[in-house]
Amino acid sequence: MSNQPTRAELIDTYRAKARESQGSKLKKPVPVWDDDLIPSTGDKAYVHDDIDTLLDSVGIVQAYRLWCGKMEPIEGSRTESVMVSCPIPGHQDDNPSAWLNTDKDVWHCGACSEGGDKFDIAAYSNDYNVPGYKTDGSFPDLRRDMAYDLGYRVTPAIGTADIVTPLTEDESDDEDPEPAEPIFAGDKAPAPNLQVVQVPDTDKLASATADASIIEIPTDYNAEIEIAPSIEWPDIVTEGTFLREWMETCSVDDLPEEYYFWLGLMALGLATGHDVVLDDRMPVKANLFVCLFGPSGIGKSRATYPFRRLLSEALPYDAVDPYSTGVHQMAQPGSAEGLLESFSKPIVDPMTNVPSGQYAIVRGLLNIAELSSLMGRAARTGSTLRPLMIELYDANSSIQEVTVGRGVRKAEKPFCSTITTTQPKVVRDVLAKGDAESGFANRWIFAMGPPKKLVAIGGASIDVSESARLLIQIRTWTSQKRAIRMDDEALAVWTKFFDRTLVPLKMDAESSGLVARCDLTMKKAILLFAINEKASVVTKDIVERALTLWPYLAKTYSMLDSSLGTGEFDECAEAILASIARLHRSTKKWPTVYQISRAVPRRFGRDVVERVIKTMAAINEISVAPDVSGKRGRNAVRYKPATDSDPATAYK
Amino acid sequence: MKDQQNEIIDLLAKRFIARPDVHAEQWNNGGWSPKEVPFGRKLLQSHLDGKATLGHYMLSEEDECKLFAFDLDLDKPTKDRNSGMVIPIYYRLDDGTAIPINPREAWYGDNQEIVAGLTLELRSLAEILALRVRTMFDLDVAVAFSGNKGLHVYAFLGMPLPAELAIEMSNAVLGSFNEMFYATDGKNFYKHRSPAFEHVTVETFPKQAKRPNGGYGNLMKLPLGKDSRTGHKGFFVDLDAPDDVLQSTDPIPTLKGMAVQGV
Repeated sequence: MSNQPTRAELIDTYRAKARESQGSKLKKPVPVWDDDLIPSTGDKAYVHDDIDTLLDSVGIVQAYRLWCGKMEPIEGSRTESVMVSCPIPGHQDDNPSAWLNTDKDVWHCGACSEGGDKFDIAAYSNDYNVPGYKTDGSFPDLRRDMAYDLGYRVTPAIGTADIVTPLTEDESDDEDPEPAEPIFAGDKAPAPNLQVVQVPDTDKLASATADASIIEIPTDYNAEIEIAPSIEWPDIVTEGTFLREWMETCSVDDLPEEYYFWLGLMALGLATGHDVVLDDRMPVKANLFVCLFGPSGIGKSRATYPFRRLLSEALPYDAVDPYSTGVHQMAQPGSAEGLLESFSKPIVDPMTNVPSGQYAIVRGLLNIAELSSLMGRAARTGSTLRPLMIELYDANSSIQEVTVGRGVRKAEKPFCSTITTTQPKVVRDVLAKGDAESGFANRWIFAMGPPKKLVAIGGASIDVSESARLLIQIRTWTSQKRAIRMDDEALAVWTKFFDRTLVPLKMDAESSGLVARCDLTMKKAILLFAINEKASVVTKDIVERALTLWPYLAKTYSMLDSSLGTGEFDECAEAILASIARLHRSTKKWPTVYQISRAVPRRFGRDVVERVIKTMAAINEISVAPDVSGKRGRNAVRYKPATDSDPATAYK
Repeated sequence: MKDQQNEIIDLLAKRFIARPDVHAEQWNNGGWSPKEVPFGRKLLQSHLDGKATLGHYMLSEEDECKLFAFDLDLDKPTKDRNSGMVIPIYYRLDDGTAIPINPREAWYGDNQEIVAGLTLELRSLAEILALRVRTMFDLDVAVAFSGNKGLHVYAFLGMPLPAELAIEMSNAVLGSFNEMFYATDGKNFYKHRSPAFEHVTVETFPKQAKRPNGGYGNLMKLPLGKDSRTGHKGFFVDLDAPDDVLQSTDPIPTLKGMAVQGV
């Protein structure tokens, strides 16, 4: 600064330099979800200022142009009495008898003596009830629709202001009558290209076990899980693999096959330990927490017998060998201390029999008889059981505890999978809202499936020896440590799924707390599929097959979270489908969420209906209807029954 | 010695104090209260002696300021607003294990690997910002340890200039990193996207373009004072020292804009 510029010159210079360097870039970006959950290619959501600022920027004249458009208002220099045709849709008003006041941003029609503001004009245009939208709770929806029309997508965010992001060129292209990729805004759920997993023909499955010595128990004593979602494992599990063999062996049993499916994946994880991970910001580990979900007496615990036999045969635990990769099968912990103790394996010098101060890694299977008993213990004052279990699930570090009486207790990188059971009646009490959101409940997979005919006596026995042989091969393969990556195509499929399906759910303040961690569960599924096929690189095919589990998971979580019985869920879903059809017949237009929620029987409650709509959209039972109104801007999202559910095109 | 102290006091007043008629004093719990007592030599001396901890309001009565600054603080685990669960912050050790830490506590902790790592993050980010200020605006810069949980990067404007401009300049510095900084909470808090600085948050000053009605606006702690909460004394950081340590340097050349060699 030797030439001593004047103050004015300095200000000009600094201002010019500041503007040159695009300081405005700061205003947009704010990812608000957990950084750890952002895939390396997926952080695309930014916080604009906020929806208030956005809507405040719209004056009454612009609002009239955008949402009414009956005529072009001639402003001139006037700030009031800008004459226009009345914005009320039913009012023909060829000789303009309404006027806009730009000072106060209001309008009034002299002919019909009605008046209002820009929100009313937008509400007429988007088929809201005027002035009902002000009191019936749909005002937030209207604001989101308005933002849409202005070229912004609004996504409700958890614990912070709504996220306002500009629509991309493709998204805001009015010319395209049928957007190829429906987008998500607020409570308008996405319509990912997911196929509906069909409930298999239970008779056919049961006939596999037909045997003269078998006495069959009718299943209608338990209608509640009659319509539980199912997994079409023969379509997604590669032949000749451990999981295929395991499923083929176990599916002769009379229990829901989904139980065995998740247990099979869990076995793969236990054979793997920390040795193979999915490469991510926080490497994804192969352990699972599975809760077998079904009414008492169905034989949930029975499903664990062949599973535990498999582990004993293929992955025996050696309590002395510090390098044992076997599975330590543990009983229910009495306390957090007891649990930590189970994973603590001090290495003793074999020559001197003195502890070396080092600890061995333990792979453990925690077997908890009933979820509610664990929750009961965890709920005791001062219990650290729950946070400890969360740490065990996350499996990222060693856990050390120093107590005055007992000295140091350390679990060296514990690898913990957990299995438990619960009943429908109990689970919703157990998963009190606090738990669903506490990050504890959402670490569990709730395995459920359509029941088969129960066998009272006799039936097929399960021989796990071939499965065990294949599982040993998996363990040998995994003994070479590796971090598996997705190849480019796989990453593209995953990122698309993440952005289109999971992010909106995560961002939706009203969506289930249970789905908050669903991306981690999906990543674990991808990893386990890769391990099952001994694939060092995750291919597109693996990701696509793993992603077919999503409708299943979404439905299980939704059913648990919405305080709906599975029967009620489907009853509500049916009512929704019927309402959509009825509204379409009468109005010739596919209805909006708001219209549907008004049309279904009141007993379901509007929030339940909206939640079920979201789930139905997420699992492609309904989809976003193309916008055919030809109106400027984007209109309210409308739903129609899904027609395209071809699995071959999913995610491609 | 006395002369030196006087020179420092003069430089502090010249470089920092935009609003001389009022100052702020820090309480022992870390809070601040305004005192409508003008800054004077005696007062500033008590600040340097550690007897009082003074803060300077950024904006003059004419809504002008003498500097803009980046307050680099170590992050701390926060609670998820929705669930009340603490969101852990991890530190990846050299052996690859990630452990949950509270960076603010860990910086004063026993694990030297973490202490050095966090210092490196703070130092590197401070130097990057200081360098960018220099290259973009050719301003004198200084980096100071705040006495508590991080560093301040000061960019001295040379004369009182509109606060609005100072805000534009600080935003331009962050914006020049091509969206690498993103706002986290309100308009003045930022984080850098890369894992290299994942434990540090950046707050920009001044925060207001105009003083709020009836108020003084935000303040910053004057450098070289003692933090009332931690008892640590602040100092200007020697940017020629190794990157993972904080060493003090002579404040006089720093405040004169002559000493920031590394930048």
